[in-house]
Amino acid sequence: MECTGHKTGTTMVINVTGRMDGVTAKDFEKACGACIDQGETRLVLDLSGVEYISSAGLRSFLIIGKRIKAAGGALVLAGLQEMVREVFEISGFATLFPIFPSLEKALEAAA
Amino acid sequence: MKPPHESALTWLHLPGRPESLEKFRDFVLEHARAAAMSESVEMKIDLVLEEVLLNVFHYAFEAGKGGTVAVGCGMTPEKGFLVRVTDPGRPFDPLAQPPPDTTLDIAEREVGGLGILLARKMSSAMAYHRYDDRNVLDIYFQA
Repeated sequence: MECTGHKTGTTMVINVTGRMDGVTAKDFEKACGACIDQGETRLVLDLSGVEYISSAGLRSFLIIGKRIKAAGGALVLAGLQEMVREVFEISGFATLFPIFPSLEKALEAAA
Repeated sequence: MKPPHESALTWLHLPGRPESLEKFRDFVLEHARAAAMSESVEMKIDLVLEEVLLNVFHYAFEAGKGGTVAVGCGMTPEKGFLVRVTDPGRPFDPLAQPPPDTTLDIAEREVGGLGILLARKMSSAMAYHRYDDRNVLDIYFQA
């Protein structure tokens, strides 16, 4: 799994690719956590390159989401593949975070 | 007493620790492909196996004491592709655990409990039994 970030206006866009499982989810959590530590609390996660997520990945989303919420920021998701969307819907996470089909819409929502 | 469909299954035995997950995964997915499971079902098997096995690795054995986990898989005549996970650890029925409340908002949601929920929803049927001092969890997937 890989996470790469770039700043667009006041929003940090993080492009995530690969599998988000029991082994890799911690890397994702660390990458997002490092952004929050640097004061970036408006995050857009481009998940179009994530083909798999397990409950370990959801756990990381929840931890990051709670930190962003406490900081008064925004965490917006874009480009969920079918498997990832299904996992978000079953777990109720689809209602915890704003989710948009495209990165453009997600950026508008986070701005 | 024996669990059903024993003769339909091929087995892999490995130490019950996280490092074994990848080998179990390769083993089961190879058999799923050979049984002509679709790619979307294969993805579900992948997910359910991770959830169930990590649960077993973390909770079945007392701290410091390992154990061997066995995973069997194969086609059954009526109920589809069967993955059977067995361990000699303490009795634990994952299906008897209360499901997490998925309607709470983010401040109230607790971390954890989602793995078994995902496993139940992504498989077509699950059954837990205790046979000969072993936990036996059967997970079925329809093609």
